[in-house]
Amino acid sequence: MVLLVTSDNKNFVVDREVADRSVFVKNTLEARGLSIATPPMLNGGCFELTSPFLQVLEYCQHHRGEPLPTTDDANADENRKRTTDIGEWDRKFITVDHEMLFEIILAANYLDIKPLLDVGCKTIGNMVKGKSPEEVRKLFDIVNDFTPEEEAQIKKENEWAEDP
Amino acid sequence: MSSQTYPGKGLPPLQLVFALNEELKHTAFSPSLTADQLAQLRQDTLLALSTICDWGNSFAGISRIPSDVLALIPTHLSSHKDRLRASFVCRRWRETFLQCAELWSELFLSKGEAYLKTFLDRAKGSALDVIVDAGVPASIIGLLSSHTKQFRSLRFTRHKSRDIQRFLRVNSGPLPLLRTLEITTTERNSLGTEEDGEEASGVITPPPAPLFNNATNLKVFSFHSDSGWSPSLGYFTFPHLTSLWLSAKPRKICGSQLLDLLEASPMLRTVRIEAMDFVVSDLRRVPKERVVVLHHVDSFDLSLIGGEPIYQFAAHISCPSASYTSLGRTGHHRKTFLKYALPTPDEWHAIVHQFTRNPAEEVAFELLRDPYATSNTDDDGREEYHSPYYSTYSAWEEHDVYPEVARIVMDHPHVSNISRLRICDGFSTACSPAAARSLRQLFKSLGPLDELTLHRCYLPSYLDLFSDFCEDGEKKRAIFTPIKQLTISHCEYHKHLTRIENLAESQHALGIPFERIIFRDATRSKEIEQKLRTWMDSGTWVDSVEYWYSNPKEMEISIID
Repeated sequence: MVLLVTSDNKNFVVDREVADRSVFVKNTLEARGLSIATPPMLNGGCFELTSPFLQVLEYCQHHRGEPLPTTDDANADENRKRTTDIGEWDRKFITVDHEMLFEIILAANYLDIKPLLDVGCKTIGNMVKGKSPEEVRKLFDIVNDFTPEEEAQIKKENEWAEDP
Repeated sequence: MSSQTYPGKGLPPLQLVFALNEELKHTAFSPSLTADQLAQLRQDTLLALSTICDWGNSFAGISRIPSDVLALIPTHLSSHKDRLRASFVCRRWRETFLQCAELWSELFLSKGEAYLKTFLDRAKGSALDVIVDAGVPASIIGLLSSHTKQFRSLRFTRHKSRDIQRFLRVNSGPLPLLRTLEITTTERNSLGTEEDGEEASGVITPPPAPLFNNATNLKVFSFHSDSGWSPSLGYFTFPHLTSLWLSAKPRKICGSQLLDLLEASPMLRTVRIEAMDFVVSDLRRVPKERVVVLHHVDSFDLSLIGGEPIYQFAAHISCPSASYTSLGRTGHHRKTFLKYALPTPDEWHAIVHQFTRNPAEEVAFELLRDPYATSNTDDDGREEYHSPYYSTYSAWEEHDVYPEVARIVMDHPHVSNISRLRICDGFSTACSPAAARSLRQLFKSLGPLDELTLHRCYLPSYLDLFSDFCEDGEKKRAIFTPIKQLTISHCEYHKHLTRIENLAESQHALGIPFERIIFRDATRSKEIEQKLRTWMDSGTWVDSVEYWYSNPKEMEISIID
C-alpha cells in the first residue's frame, strides 16, 4: 500500500498496483527503494494533486493490472494516434464538464498516466472533429486573435482543407 | 514608412491602445497624417488588438493545457481537414500545431504546389504518407524527389501504370522508410505498357525491373484492381513483406506468379486475396508437387468470384502456423456447379490437412449464402445466388448442397477442430427435409462450438436443429454439443422467441448454458430478456452498435460470474 497526500492535505491509501498506473509515482517510489512487499500505511510520498485526484484514482482503480504502454512499440503508438475511439467505460468516465476535463488532462500529464492523457486528448479531439474554427472557438471560449495578414494566409489554406 | 508619427507609436501593444484611445478621444483628425501613416496606424492597432485577444484567450480554460499536451490533440484526428482546421482556431493553437511536424506528414499531391511546399516545410524531416492521385503533374511529383528517404507510405489512387512508372522515375532514390504501398487501379492495362498504342493493341510491355525494388523494408502491400486485365505480379518483389492484400478482378491472375510472389515473401503473416475468374489460369503448368510453405502466416484468406475451384490453387499453399485460414468462393449457380465447385472429400481433406498442419487451433467452415443476391436471374431465368464456398449455391429446393457439405465436413479427421459456425441463408424458408437432416447430423458431429452465428436466416430452419427439445414437439434430453456464444443477427428474432428459449433451455440442460447470446437487430424485446433470464443470468442492451449495414441496436445477454 502507498500513502498519497494531495496538496490540500488529504491522505489516500491506495494499492501499489493502483499507484503504479502513474509512471511518476512508480518512478518516485522505486527511486526511494520501496516495493510492493513493504508494509501498508507507509509514507509513500507527498504529491501535489488537486481536486481531480479522486477521478484519477477511480481511473487507476479500474485499469489496475492492465499492461502499461511501452515506448518501444512505434507501430502501436502510431495506431493509438489518429483515432478518437474511446472504450465504453473510459467514455463514461470522461463525460465531465470542460473544467474537470482539463483538470484530468493536467493531472494525467503531471502524474504521467499516458492512457488517461490519451483519453482526455481524444475527448477534446472528438469535440473538435467536424467543427469549423468558429465553432471550436465558441466551444472553448476562444477569441479569434489572428492579424489580418494571418487571416489572409488562413483563408488561402482553408482551400486545402477541402476533401481531396 | 519609417517616418510615420502617430500618438503612442513604438509603445508596447497595451500602452499603445491606451495611448491611442486617450489621444484620439481628444484629438481632431490631423491633416498632417498621410494616408500611408494612417494605414500603418491601422495595421499597428490591429496587431495590438490581436495581441490583446491573445491575452484574453489565456483566460479560457483550455489555455491551461500546456503546449506539449495541446499538440497531442490533433494527433488523434484522422482527418486531414480537421487537423488543418484546428490550426485556424487561434494563434496559440496555430503556433503549437505548426511546430508539430507529424501533423503535416500526410501529403495529397492533388492539392497543388503551394500546398505541397508548405506541408513539406512543416513536416520537416518526419516520415511522410503520400497520396498520389492520377494525373498529378510531373512538376509536383518532382518536389518530392529530395524526400524519398522520408516516405513511410505511398498510396496511388485511380492510377494508370504510366503514372506509377513516371513517379518512380522522378523519385528513384532509396525508400528505406517505406512500409506501406497501396495501389488502386482501374485502367484496363493496369501495370503494363506506357504507350497508348500498345495498350490499345493489348501488348503488354513489362517494366525493365521490379517496381519499387528500392523499397527494401516494405511490410504492407495492397493492390486493388477493377481492370479487365491482369496485374503482373512478377513486377513486385518485397522480401520483408508481412501483409499482402490483393484484390483484383481481372479475367486472369497468373497463378504461378501469385505463387512466386508468395514464395518471395517469406516473412508474410497476413494474406488476403480476392480475385475474380480464372485466377489459376496457368496452374496446369505448375507441378502438382509444388507447395509454397508460408511458415509465418497467421491468417490466410483466399476468396474467388466465379472461375475455377479455389481448392486447385489452395493445394499449392501451406500455412503450418496459421490460426485462421479461409477459402471462399462466390459463384453463379448452375446445374453443374456443385460438381464443379466441390472437391472430393479426399482432395478437401488433403488441402485442409496441408493448411492446418499443427499447431492450427481452429478451422471455421462457413455455410453462407449472400444476403443481397436473391433477386437476380441468370441466363436460364433461374434465380441466381452468389455464395462463398461451402454454401447453398442454389435455392434449397433445387441444388441442396448442405448434405454434400455436411458429408465432407463430418468425414474430415479434423472435424473436432471446428469451433465456429456461421449460417446465412437470405431468409430462405424452404430448408428441405434432406438438408435439415444433414445439417442436424453435422451439428451433432461437431465438437464444442465457441460461436454459432445465424445471420439473416429463417430461424425455425435452424433453431430446431440445434435443440432436441423441439423435436416432435416433445422435450427430450438435449444431446447436442455445447455452444458458448450464440449470435442472432437480423433474423426477425422477435417472431421466434419460444424457439430461442427452447434452445437456451436445451443448452442449460446440457449443464453448459450459453455464456453469451447477442441479438443484432433494430428491435428490442423485453420478453426475450425475461425468458432467457431463467436459463442465463443478466443482460445488457447496447445502442447504435457499428455494424456493416443498418447500424442496428444490439442486445447482449451474458452470464455474469
